[in-house]
Amino acid sequence: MDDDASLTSAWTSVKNFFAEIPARMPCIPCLFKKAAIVGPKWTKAVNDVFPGQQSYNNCGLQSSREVIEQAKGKIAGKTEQQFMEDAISSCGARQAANHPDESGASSAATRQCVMQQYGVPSTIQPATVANVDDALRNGKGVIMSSNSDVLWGTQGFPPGAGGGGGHAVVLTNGIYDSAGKMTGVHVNDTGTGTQYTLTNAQLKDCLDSGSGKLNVTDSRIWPTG
Amino acid sequence: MDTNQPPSWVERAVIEMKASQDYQTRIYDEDYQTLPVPMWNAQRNWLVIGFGTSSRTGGPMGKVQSRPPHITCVVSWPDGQLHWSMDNTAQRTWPTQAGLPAPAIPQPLAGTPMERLRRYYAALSTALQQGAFATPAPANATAACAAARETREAFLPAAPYPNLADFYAAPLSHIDGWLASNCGAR
Repeated sequence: MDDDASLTSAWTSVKNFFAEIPARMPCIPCLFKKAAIVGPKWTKAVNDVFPGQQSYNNCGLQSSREVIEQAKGKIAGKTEQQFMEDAISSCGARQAANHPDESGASSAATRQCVMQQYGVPSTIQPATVANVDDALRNGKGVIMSSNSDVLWGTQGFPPGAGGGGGHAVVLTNGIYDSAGKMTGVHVNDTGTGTQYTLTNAQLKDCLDSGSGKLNVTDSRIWPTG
Repeated sequence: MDTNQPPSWVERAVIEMKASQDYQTRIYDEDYQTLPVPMWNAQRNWLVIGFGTSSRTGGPMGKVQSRPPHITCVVSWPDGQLHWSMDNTAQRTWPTQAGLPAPAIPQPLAGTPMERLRRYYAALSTALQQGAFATPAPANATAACAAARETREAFLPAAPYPNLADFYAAPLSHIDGWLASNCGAR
């Protein structure tokens, strides 16, 4: 009998507890989506799609390819140059006089076109830390434009190393504190051929120094865990 | 510099330029972008920003050889209207003067690239607001001269690119000429 009484009491407590919760309680973001997880699956994915250093003036296109391959799988049978030639002919990437060495420059619109051609729809968004945070928290593919000196200055390269040129890189995940607040980002950089991190302050400077636009995929591409 | 401060007039002009349809359709991310350089005549002031191609986005990749700007954006002061020029017209818009040596970039440079850039934007904004780089110079030129000197000092640290130094010879010479004519010795 004592067991029955305690069971009844426990069930009543449970009913009372849930009765106090509104039927349409809003989702609590920090409970269900505290952060994208930097685990072995994500690490493998980021390393698998990273092509290393680019061969042409095609950082934005190589960044697009990383996002496409993460979303859709490896693009079989296309060299870096063939991928660039396709982007020149179909999406308006630049063909330089000294082709192919200096070809492949792109804008946010060029990259959106290239990703769409491979079945990866995306939007062009204002380049803000908040937009980066929102996109990475949802595992989306993000391409950032930055002045190369502003970006590479964070990695210890000397002033002027980037020559005043712009650059595009993939932001692959956020870095989050124990409260779930983004404090920085992970970067795949085909200009340096390296992967590194930026703090939020460095990220803001990079965003402010670039074209003012981000490429963000419509859907999640990065795994959690 | 406190990045929470509201952006200066020049920084706002650059932000609005980047947000324009012309910028988004004409400028590629790998292009170089010059500093906004001040220009003036008896009627008005304006800024010119040049864009051009490099052999590559340089630095760790090595080659950085820049061609003269093939696109320029003229920003009129104080209304901030944008006027774009392409190709030969752009090359005529960019200030040049034969025979000037490329300016030497001072070393060492303090601060981050964005701190140096924002210092230049702020100094140039103040200079324009104080009536610097105008003909004739304002009646009380003290503040204008101080701001013009600060602009001159902030210029090269904000754009420490040896490959672009040639393009800055004429704009810096113009600034030096205005300072010499209107401000005398320091």
